[in-house]
Amino acid sequence: MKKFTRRSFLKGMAATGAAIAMSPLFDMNKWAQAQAGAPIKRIPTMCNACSSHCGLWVHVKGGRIWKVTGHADHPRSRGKLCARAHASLAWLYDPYRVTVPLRRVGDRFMPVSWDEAMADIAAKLKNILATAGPSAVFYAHNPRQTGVFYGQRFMDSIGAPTVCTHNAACNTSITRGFSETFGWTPGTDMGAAKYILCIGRNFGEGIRTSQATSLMGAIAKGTKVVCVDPRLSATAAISSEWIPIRSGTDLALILAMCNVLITEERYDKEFIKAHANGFEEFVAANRPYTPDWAAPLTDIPADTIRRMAREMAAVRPNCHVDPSWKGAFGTNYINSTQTARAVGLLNALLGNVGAPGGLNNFAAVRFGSLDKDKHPAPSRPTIPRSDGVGIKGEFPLGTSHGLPHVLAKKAMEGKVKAGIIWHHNPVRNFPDRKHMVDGYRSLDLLVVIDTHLRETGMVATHILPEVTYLEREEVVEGYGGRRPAIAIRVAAVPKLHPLTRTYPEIITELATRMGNGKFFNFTLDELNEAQIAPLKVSLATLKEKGSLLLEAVDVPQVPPFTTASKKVDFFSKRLADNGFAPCPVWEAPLVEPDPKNPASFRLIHGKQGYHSHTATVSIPYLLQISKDYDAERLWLNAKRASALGIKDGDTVLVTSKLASQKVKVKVTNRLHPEAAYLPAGYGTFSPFQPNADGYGISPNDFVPFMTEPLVGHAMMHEVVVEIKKA
Amino acid sequence: MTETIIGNEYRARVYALLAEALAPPSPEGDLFRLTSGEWARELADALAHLGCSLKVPASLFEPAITPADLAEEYLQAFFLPHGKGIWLVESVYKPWTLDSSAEVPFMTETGWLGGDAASHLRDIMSQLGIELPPEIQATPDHLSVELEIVSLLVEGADEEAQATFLSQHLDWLPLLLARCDEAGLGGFYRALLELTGQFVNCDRQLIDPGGTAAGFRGYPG
Amino acid sequence: MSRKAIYMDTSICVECQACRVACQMQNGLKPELVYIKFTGVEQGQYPATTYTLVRKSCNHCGKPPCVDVCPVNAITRGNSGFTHLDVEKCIGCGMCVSACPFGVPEIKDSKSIRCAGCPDLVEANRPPACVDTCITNALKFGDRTAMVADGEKRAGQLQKTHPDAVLYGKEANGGLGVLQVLRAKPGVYNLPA
Repeated sequence: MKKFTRRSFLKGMAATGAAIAMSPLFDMNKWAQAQAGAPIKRIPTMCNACSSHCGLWVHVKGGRIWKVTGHADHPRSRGKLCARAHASLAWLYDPYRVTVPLRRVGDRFMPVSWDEAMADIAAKLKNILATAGPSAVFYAHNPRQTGVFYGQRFMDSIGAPTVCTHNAACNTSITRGFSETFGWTPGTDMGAAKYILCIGRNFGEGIRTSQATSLMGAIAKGTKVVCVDPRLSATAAISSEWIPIRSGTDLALILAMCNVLITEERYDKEFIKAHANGFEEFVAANRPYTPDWAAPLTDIPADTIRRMAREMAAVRPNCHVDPSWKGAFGTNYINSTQTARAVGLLNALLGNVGAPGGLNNFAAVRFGSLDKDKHPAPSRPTIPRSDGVGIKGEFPLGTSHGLPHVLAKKAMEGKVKAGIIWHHNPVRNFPDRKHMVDGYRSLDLLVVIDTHLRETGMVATHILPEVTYLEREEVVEGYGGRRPAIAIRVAAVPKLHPLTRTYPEIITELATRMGNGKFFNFTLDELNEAQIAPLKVSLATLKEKGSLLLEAVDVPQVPPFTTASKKVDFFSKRLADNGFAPCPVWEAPLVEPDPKNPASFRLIHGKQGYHSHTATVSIPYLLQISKDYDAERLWLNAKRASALGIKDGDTVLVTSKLASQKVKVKVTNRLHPEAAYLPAGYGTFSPFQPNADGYGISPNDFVPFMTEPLVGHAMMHEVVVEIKKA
Repeated sequence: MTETIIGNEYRARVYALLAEALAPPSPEGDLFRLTSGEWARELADALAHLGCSLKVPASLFEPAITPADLAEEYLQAFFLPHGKGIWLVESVYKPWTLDSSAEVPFMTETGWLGGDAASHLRDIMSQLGIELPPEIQATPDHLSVELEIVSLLVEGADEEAQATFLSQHLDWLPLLLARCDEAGLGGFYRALLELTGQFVNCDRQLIDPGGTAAGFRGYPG
Repeated sequence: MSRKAIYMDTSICVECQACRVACQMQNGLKPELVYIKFTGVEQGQYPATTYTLVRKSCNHCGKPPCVDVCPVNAITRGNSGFTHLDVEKCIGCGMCVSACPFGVPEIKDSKSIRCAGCPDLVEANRPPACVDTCITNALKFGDRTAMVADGEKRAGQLQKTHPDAVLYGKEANGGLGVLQVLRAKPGVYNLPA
């Protein structure tokens, strides 16, 4: 008889049947008895279900995630957690995670070792840098401290300037609009406000937990909250008043409210005298924009516009127009940047900057940095960016957010050849699927670092498996405020898949292979210690507490303006110099539905409170909410639907120049007749998120690739569709 | 007595051979033993010595496929996030935990890694200092690991221990086979999994004909 | 122990569903099994449209008919006044479904699907999971008399702008353990008067 050789893969002296059977843990029932009483540890860390990164306590039993609760000292959660924070724990144990490095082979991905993957990536990157130069390489992410530090430093080390974020499909207009007005994007004091005007801002469905808590707190104590929105959103539904508006005309409303304040001399003259630059030019430019002029454009009666302006003036400075996020003027229309500027100026007319209930701007937490002698930093590249930002003739006033949709075009033109993308999904979350897929697919090297295979991963050349947010430590984050705060993410449990790595580990190794290891000669702990050194907090204490409120700081009565004039720029020289209107003037949206065509609508979109963009649709508990409430439906105004013979629950065909797709309809009186509204979190097409497969449609499939002239954002509501019963 | 010993030796051998064939191919590994028929001949030989009526299907002798292609078939079926999504992992087919003190949303759900079975086997291995190769460390409740453990138990422990393990851990193969149906798995691995299911079923009846071994009852309280 | 209650101010609820998911966690429910639902009602022609809602879940009646009819005593009334469902005991007979004046329970997977009343928390005078997570503070938990007072005060404030605003549940069925301030008449949500 041939001797049998066991090819066992269980390594260890005690890998014998006798030892296993003798183990006191062998009988699972006895093991469970012992386990039942095991202690539950609470570990303070941060959520990652959306980019707010709320502080939370992860409860851990026997090395497994057991529960989450809110962290009371974190400024963004204040002890409360939304649905996503609870449900997203599932990501860790998802069998569909990427667990080993993958390399594209034709149309497939094959596993490779880390060594092979990193050697291959470094060789390709070196070759591209040598042949096409550092302008051919970009990096893109959702900007939070870890990426901002490691990603930027890596790009600096290879001399490549093009660092991008998701913001050109989110709030780039707001950043530029406010920076040209105040020098910074303001926050608000909702607690002390007597009147809050939300223009498109939907705190109840575009959730940052602490902001929702503040707004609803204000409503509960009787603060007047007015929502201007084409849709009676969840926030508008609980506000004092809903003012429906024609999509894309918010600028006209704001200009007319400014007009009322100026012509009726209800604005804050003292504030203007002390802090305004170019007020006279603004007044002259604003003259035509009377409420009667704005009424037909906005579909808001002139008397309502006057009333709103007067009501706010009556309680100024304890009132504000919310600076918003993506809502109406983040990146949606051709006039969005000027709308943001106009919102800033309307607030300035109300004299509310620094006032209770008005706008505020707190200094960032003063972090320290690594010792420059021991840890030399690479210098910032000075060559031009490759997405056109900062370049005459392209987007001279674009922001450091960058333009990932423009990069798709540059890739197809052969000008950009390599990209590194971390935890970010531009291929699904920017408009024009074909443009984004073709563009990113044409890169010679596209390295995607993520936990799951999303749409951007599908077109990558390499996918590097990342640990989830529950298994990793990151760079400390800071939050300015009257009481500033800091927080850190730590690993709640050891990593599940041994071949996954953290982003700092991946970047450090790649930099080393590129010959730039000298710029990464520190550990994450050393970096974090250097960062918090000036705050007189030890890293051990921070890790133990997770979120820490720092001592209150002195806040100037009016925060200093950081524009070129050091004042509120009613007239922006920089805009004038670059050929844009120096004072906000009316600009019509780029496209308009055809008033003669009963099937023609503007397609607008928004968030739902239980999803984070397209990232959470595959989480069963969140998807089930969508299913229970038929949340994927397209909203249509009841009168318009009836004229088209469309009934509630019918399936319709939505058609733009780009796509024709079917979806069910919600017929409602909660929507302006010109708009068709689609939730933005569905229509994922990565087949590797099996739970979400085929649920709903995405507005991005209908919107063509476009760039707004001022900052280059994606103009996501500039699209007209035809809707017919399917 | 002699017969039992021989029987046990061949039983252990069958389990070990099934475990070998169902383990993820290691990066440097080669599936030549599977594609050449060498492995199938050893399995057929062991089954024959046991007097088992199960036959190794012809498709396992001559898979007509290169080792590299078979490795890819394995990865696509059982391992890659963009594959068929048939996971060879016990936790995926059972509620994540029966411990009602958990308050994670998926606790009673199937479809997740790291469930009670994984925790149990991880605890045993860490207590005994047993290590798994990296591809499989996240899943100590992987089918290949469980088959290997049974093989070791057959060699070194009594039938009661074997029966206990089979009833507490290796009771999910019908669910796995149903998932194979759903995902349309054919070929070498389909035949292999069916044979594995049949063998485990027969063997369990042999050592625990009354089905008296205590299954997992959950947590007290 | 004095009688406890959940007070919900529906006028600041945005249906973010945090309560629903926190409840599913607390109770180990599958995604399809839901104790907390919402009934939203749209009224009026555009642009004079309103949208208001109520929470649809066990109201923890003062005189709970479900407790009386349950043949296996799976539903019991705790010292807090909350009615607790023991899922193990439940045989899914559906008697509670016919007895409930609010149409709350459903039978799924041979069990009654209705709020279990977080006995471990509520009977220890701690807020149930839904209240604990509520990001808008629309949910509060405490002594029922205090909750009634909070609710009446809020209803009074709302009546200035919403003449139909009312605190629902003060009297009905022996007084409810889930008190809701509504902006529209109870009948709008098919709630018995």
